[in-house]
Amino acid sequence: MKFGKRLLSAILVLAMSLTFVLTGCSSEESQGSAAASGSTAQSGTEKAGKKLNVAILLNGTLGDKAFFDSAANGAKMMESELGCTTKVIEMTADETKWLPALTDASENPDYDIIIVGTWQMAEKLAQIAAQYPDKKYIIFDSSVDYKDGKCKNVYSIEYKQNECSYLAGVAGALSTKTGKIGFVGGMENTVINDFLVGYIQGAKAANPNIKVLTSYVGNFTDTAHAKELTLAQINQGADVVFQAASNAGLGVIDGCTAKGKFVIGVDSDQALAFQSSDPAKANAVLTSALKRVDISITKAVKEAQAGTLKFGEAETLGLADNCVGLGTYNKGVSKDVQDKVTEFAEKIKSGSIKVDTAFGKSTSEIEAVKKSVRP
Amino acid sequence: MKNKQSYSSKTIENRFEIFRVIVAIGISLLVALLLIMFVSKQPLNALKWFLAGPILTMRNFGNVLELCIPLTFGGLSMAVMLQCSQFNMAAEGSFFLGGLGAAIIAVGVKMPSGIHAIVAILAGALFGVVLCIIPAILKVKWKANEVVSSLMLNYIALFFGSYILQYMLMDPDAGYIASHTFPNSARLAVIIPRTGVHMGIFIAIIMVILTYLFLYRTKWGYAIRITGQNENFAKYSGIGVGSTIILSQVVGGALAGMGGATQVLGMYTRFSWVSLPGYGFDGIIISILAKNNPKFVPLAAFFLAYLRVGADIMSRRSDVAPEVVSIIQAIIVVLIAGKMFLDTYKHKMIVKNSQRQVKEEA
Amino acid sequence: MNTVMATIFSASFLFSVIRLTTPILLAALAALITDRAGVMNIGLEGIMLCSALAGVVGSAAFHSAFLGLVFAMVTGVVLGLVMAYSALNLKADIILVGIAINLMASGGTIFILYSICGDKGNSTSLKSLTMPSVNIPLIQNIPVLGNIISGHNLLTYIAFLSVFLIWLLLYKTPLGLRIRVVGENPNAAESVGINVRKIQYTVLVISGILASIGGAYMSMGYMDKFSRDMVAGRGFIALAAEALGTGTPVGIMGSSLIFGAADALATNLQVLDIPVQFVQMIPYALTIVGLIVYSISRNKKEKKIGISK
Repeated sequence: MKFGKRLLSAILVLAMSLTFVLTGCSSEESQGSAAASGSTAQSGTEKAGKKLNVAILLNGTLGDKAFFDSAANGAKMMESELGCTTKVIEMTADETKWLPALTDASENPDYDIIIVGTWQMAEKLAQIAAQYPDKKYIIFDSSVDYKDGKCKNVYSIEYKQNECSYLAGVAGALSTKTGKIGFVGGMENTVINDFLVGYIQGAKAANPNIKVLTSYVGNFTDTAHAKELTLAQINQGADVVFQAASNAGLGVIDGCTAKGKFVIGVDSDQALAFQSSDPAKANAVLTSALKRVDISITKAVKEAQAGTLKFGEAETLGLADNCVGLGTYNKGVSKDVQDKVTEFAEKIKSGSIKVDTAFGKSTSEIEAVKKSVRP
Repeated sequence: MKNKQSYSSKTIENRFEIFRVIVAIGISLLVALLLIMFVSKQPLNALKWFLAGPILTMRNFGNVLELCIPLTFGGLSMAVMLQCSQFNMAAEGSFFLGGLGAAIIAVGVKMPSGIHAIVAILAGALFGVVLCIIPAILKVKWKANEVVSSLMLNYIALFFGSYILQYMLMDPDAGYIASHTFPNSARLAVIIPRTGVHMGIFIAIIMVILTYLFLYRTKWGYAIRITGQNENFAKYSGIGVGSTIILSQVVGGALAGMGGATQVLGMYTRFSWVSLPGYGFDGIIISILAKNNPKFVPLAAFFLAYLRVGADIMSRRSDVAPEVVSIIQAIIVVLIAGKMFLDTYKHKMIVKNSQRQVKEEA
Repeated sequence: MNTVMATIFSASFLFSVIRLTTPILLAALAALITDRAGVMNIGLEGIMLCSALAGVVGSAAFHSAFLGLVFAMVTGVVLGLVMAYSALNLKADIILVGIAINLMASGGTIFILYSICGDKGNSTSLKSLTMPSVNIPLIQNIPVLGNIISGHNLLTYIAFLSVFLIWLLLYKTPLGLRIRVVGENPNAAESVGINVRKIQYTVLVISGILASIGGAYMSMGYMDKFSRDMVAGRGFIALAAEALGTGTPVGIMGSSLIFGAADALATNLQVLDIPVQFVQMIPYALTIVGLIVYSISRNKKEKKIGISK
């Protein structure tokens, strides 16, 4: 009987919350649709100058101190520099959730601009952008297909990550004492291999006899395995390891810190990222191959706010645009090395060095590149 | 009188089962509500989207239906295996390999529309069978523990699959590890515009019916259920226990493989799975919720899909992470699988009922 | 190839074998103690993951690595009790309870991590502490051997010490005797007045403690932070190690070392021309082969004794 009473009260609470919830939403919903009709009535030019409301949809999770964190940092920059309202949504790595999340954001009348990233989102964005022609979209780290005049409401940002990793290779090859440097990638995919191809090319340019050890974690999360791979590379003689492994890359940083070797960070300036929380790790960072997602998307939103952003076009940002490059150097990196890196950077900017890319290369062609520097 | 007595206590038991499921769901939801209240700055807003989000728009509801498809397959697969009391976790790997098998046919072979998709799904089923049958054979032949062997096989399936994907199926122009795009002839068409709900839902419904008929209307299904209830009794009744166990895993593996295939052909444009999809383990939750009966699997799948879609919507609209659902799931599984949960209450109900009957008789 | 051979026979390789063995060994011992009492604990993976997070959160909250470890162990005990209550009082199938714990852990840890740190990837924003590494006096000065067995994390030594402690518990104490009797024949145990439920509660709690140390090692020794899904199947591998270890603590130490070595080998073989995926398969394929070998030998033994099941 006692149990029955308790059950009854539990059911009552549930029922109450449910009715509350249902009534609560019906009013919200009508508000929403009213706002929706209002915003679609506005034309693009009228919007210019208005503080934009930006949604950033990430198909991964925050906390990697690299790629996705850089995008989230972009949101902060937009808020402080442009006065935007932002919302960062982690869609996680589960691909089936991406399309619903993107559609959901597109139907939300509050958002003026929706930002997504990576190659995996491009096809999905093209499909959605056609369904919501009044919405504006920005995609970073990939481009949608603009053929046949499609995607007039999408601006694409691509990065030449092979250029910054080329410089990372130069810095690594000039800093190693053993003549062996390492590369730990998250998964063997084209963007990660684009980093690798540039890295190897840069290392070879700085030292033709350089040896590069290559490992992949197999995912972007297993920090322990990433650390183990790093320790194995260090045991085999590597004293500088470049990581391109998102969350798992923290294991690489950890391994290098533990063994007193250098790590080259990726995407964000990882020396700065660890400076306050973990100085030991910050000191192990030789430099970072930057892919400034934050700067590039903030710049795009700024232009959108001014009404000058070229929707319907793709832009490829490289060294020349200051959107890729190297981060702060470790104290241990001599002036000579830094000057040498700058020298190579100038040559890339002027076009006298052409950096190779992994896009369009088959698995066996990539294997050949790896083999050329295998110890 | 004896007949009447036993009959009525059976109805009590059936009603009680339904009641038990409802209470279990209620308790788990209550825990979730408390958790949300605790972590969220705007708990009511979060709750609103969580509970009502999936039915607010057709598109959201479509998300629920499209998630139902793989969950139904996972649930059916585990229902057949659990009816035989086999804890074969390889359904997870079978789901993955099923997707891979379908992708190989979809990308590698040219066939007319319709037939292409069917052949691809059958290939997926075959891949699923090949994996799921291994733990069963090891168990029947050498009494090797199927839980351990199947968990290990999942990893082997994953690495094998990613090898095939990377070295044989990969599209070098794609920016990540993914196969070439599937031709339209192999894809399962979307049936509700502006949602992802695809033809797979019909295949799922057909498989629910077939699996039910298989388990409850054929002698093989009977053998599976008897073996699951009491292996020794099955032996005395002249049932070939070994072959029955293998049969249950073959059917379970085929269902999981088909599930992977329909999911890949319906929801994706390329094969790009680089980790296990999780629908096999979800299948266990669903099967438990459905009391291992295929009849109830779609209902259980719908419930779970509703929770998950609701949680996703909530996470996009508020500050609560959708992973709260996993806590709900765990509580439900334990409470429903717990035979003694609310047992004292059940006894009271039965006692009271018989007292009433005695009074009536008198 | 030569570099690989040189690596494998180096002290640092053997050091890494011990490092990789630690979490598997602790979890395998946790599997052993329940298995000997007739309970299969497949929730180890989940317990490890939860306690890995608990250790990090605890050490950050109490500013003490030791208290962090205690917090992790308390988490392990609580989860062990939850499993015991569900399986023994509510009579849910223990395998289902284990699966439920694992499902809860993989999502629940992310949920808690997000509520505390605001991100779903890892706990870098928490200032958590690690358990200290220990240099063993005298032994550390022995050439080669010193480099292999000295300088590990404190929890590694606790893991190997646990092998001895569990052996002591199982074979030299009255409790151990009861555990073994319960595992071999619960009905007989009941008839001689052993409280089977109490014994199974006890083993699940001990199992929770051992697994939680293994989890804490992941986030407070092996790594210095929690990251999502960081246990990455080690709890499952431990079940296989337990099956291979023929049900004795020493045997389990041996099988855990084999898995540690396979893992270390897989890591070092990545520089070869073999596709990564096949190298990654090694530990899992080895488990299945080992399981078959173990099962065959056990069946033969049972036939000899004349037990027919």
